[in-house]
Amino acid sequence: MATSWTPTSAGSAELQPEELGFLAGGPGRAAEVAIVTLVEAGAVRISRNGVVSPVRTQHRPWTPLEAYVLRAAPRSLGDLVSTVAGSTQAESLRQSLIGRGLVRSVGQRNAVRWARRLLVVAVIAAVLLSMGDLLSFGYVVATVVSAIVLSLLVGRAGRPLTGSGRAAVRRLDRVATTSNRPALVAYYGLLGKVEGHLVWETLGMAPTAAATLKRRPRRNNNGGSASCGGGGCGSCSSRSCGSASGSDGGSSCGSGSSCGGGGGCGGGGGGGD
Amino acid sequence: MVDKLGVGIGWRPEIDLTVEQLDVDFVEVVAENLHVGHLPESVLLLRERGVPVLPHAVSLSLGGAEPVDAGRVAHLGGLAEALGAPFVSDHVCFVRAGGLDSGHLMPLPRTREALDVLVANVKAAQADLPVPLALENVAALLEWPDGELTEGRFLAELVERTDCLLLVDVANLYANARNLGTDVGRFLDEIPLERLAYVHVAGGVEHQGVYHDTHAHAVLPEVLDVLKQLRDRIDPPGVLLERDDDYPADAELAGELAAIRAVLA
Ligand SMILES: [Fe+2]
Repeated sequence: MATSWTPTSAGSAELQPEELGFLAGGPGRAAEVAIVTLVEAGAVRISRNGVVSPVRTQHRPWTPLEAYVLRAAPRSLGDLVSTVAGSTQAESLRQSLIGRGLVRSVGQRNAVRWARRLLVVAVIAAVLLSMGDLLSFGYVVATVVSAIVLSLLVGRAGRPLTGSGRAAVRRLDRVATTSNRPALVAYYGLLGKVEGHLVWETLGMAPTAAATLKRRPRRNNNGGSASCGGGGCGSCSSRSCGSASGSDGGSSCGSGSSCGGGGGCGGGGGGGD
Repeated sequence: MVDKLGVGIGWRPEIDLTVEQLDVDFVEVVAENLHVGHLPESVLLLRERGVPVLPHAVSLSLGGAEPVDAGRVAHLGGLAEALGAPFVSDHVCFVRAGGLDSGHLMPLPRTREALDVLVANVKAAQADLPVPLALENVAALLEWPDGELTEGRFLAELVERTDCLLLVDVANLYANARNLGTDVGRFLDEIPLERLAYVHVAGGVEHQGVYHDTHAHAVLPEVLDVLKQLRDRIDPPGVLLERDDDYPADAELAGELAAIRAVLA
């Protein structure tokens, strides 16, 4: 795995920056971390108009995600993020995080969704039955109260991250500073803001390059708050997603959607003699 | 003799920020990749800084039997005006024949007949261009039979008859010396160096005894030695590093530019 994790990350134990990025913002965020790590290592460069191209360098051990970035380049930054986010390497990263008990599987979260629907059905049924005088009001109250309690209980299990996953993101918060660029990107995303500045700006990226990044459409796929990081371009601020502060089971970190296109890379092509 | 340009590098979209940061006095752009209406931000920024930007064409096919495509000449001229370029360039070659595009810069047979065709095309292009035209020697892997002139004499007569400028690519010259036995010293003695616009330096690689002018490898010391032989005869107005693929780190490109400056010093 990566050799690129800096000593400042010691607080986050054995997790690699792109793994932390995945926890904080999904596969798109992990892709951003992989790209930024490669830029830091001098292995790719990003042009003014956002074309990420490999730099001829000494070979070194890359993470599978980084290796995929190098194979997929040259490509426009936004396009590259979504491509990498949709790669089998990103999916393996998810599986490995599920395996280590940091991310919940889609199956588990679907089960929670169904349990909640059943509770809603039970409450509606109780109300209807009481209206037909088939059930005493006491039972209705009991049903509603137990539905609320059960809903809160399963709600925890419906979150995209497990307790240890959320704890890792909390620890990431402490190392996500401008002196630790991979951690900064992992926590906030390139389009996130830190100390009033956009992260891509802080990293010295050209505005035209950042413009290739697409903010993921905000989708209400869990009847909750904005989903984040599920798909390709995930760059919403980590607040809305999986972070320690306000994760209320509504956000949908790590869902498998991916956002569209991203425009081909510009011009380029044959030089003359 | 044209105005002093200094040491430059080929501007390419992938390395635009690198080019902006390097210590270069001028740049060259591939004309076919730009549009007058929407020039890249990076190119405009270099122009604002006062860095000369020279359009370099690869598709006029001046040595071809067909008349020169007026649209391509107009594009090149329009670009020169948009960029305020002192001159433009293309190659002593043909890229199209019988309506087919070879995609390569094909060398010309060095016969009087081929020279006549080339001269007519160059004059036609010059008539429609707002700035002088410089012509570059190409690398050839094979030679046409029945050549009547050396490459140096061929270029010298071209300059005599069209008053064009010369763009000497020392990597191409090295390639021809290595692969075809061209006499570098004689070539440099035969061409009118006072009509030199600037010089190209590029990287390449030797593979199975043949030198390939790849523009994707480091510049060989042998190529710098050809530059040295040219420098011994004249202080060239400009020398430009061409890199078109497999771009190395900024520091490595800076190193190649420094090596060029060292030869010129
Ligand atoms: Fe050249």
